[in-house]
Amino acid sequence: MAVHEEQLPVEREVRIDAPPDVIFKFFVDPEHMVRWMGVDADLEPRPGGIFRVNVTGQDVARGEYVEVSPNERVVFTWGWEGEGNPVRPGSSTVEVTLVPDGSATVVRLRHQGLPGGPDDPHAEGWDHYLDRLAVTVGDGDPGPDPWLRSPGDEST
Amino acid sequence: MLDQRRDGTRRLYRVRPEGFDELRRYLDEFWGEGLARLKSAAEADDRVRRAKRRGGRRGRP
Repeated sequence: MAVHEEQLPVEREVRIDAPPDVIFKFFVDPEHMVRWMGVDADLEPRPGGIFRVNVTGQDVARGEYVEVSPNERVVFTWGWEGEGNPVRPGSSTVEVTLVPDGSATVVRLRHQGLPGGPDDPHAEGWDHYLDRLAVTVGDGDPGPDPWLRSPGDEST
Repeated sequence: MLDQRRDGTRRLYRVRPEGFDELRRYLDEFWGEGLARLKSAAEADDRVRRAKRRGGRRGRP
């Protein structure tokens, strides 16, 4: 299968003033995970184990762990649950690498296998997909955490 | 790239086929904001861990 130019990965990097073992927990432990992503998480950090994060209370990201190398590297597949979604559960892959840098760690995240260009049959589902994403972003105000809307939000 | 319309408080986007760049842009922001929160949380944990070590190092190698 040809690799199209359009399928370049999304890559992000962040330097964190903490050692890798502190950061690693945030990718494999549900209680740590929900402190930076999602409202609940179901994680089995072993190859083939489930990776499922309810990102907003409505939008669920799901995949499987592919590689779990403690304090060094985590790879999991990724997609969104729901009909008509072009990024289906397990259809793309996220690689996270933890590189020590003095007393800090550089976290590299690479998300690849995303739907390709105009010829990709998934393209027609993107309106649905971005509709869901637009809801998660709310009305364009980033705020401290625009994704989180837990079911208990109404109660005061 | 995107057709946009409003529905109540929501903004609905319809993506033209060439809109795949938008998907990547969205995910770039998605992970960027996520990693920023990860940084805050991990650094907070590390501060707590270091403080505990300073306070109760007794018996540790």
